[in-house]
Amino acid sequence: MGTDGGALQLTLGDRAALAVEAYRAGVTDPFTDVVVEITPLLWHVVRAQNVPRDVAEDVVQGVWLAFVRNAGTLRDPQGALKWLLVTARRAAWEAVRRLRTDEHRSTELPETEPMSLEPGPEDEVLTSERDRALWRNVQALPERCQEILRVMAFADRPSYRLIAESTGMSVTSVGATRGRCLEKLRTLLASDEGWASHA
Amino acid sequence: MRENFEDEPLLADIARVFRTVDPVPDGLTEMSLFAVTVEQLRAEMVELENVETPELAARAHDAEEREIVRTGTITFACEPVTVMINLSESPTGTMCVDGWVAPPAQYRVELYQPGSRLAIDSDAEGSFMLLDVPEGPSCLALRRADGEGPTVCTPVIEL
Repeated sequence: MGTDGGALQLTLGDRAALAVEAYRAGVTDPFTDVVVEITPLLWHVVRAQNVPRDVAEDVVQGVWLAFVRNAGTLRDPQGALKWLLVTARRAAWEAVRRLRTDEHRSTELPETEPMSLEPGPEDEVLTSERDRALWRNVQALPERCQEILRVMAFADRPSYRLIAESTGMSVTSVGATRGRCLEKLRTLLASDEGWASHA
Repeated sequence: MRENFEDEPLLADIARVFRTVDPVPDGLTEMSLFAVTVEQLRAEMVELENVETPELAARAHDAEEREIVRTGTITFACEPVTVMINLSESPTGTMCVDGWVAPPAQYRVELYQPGSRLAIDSDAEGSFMLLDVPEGPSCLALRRADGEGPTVCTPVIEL
């Protein structure tokens, strides 16, 4: 173990808390690092709520803006990461709600198209059959499982409980819910030729 | 037939697939940092108000309200400071921002944009020029070199 072993063990939540403390003291570099590190996680939290990409960009920037406005008064810096994730998820819901209202106003015709079963552009960007199989089967999961696995896939391991909680799971059900979703996915994958033959 | 995978490799596969299918847009991190920086500037400084823009120019904090500014003069003011900036195209096609600050003094002029910051000192009369300025949302901050008076920043303008 080197002398920086301690620093390496800081969780994302710890780093976010330290960044807030530093920010309050007028030091902004750790804050910049945290924005760089957490922005992809926020992106996936927001997109998991089916927010269109262009709207999701505004939502993520809005979350950071709200965060910096609140950084001075956030009661518990240790709660900074959770605050970000919960705010992102709520802002995503709000964006979806607003889009639905706008759609309602702008068109008289019901535009609920059935889910397309045609291969989408996703099949073109995924180059291996194994990845295409994984994508197919992730999409076949219940929406809630898709959200949980997506967000968990981008969580850093030490903060995983906290990140899971921010998707609305209770502390006690985090492990079980994730396990159940992964189990469902494995069952689907096991019967998918594309996955099995490239495993 | 079911294999007993560990969770980690499967989660790593899921992350890779999402990263490919739905990548974080280029520039989102820079835009987020820019939003944070501007917010910091506004919290620390006196924000100037836009008092005069040519027809083609407009200011707004909301992306949808922003208009592209190509050329012309914009004036910002907040007692006792007035800043005029003039946008023009250099012979090589890049943007040139020259301006004046009143009351006259030497100022440290900083131009913040997503992913970059240009800094220059004005002359003793408060006049300055920034060459080769990239297009995009921008915010100008001005501090008097002698530390006197308020530090000021402009609203975000789309250059």
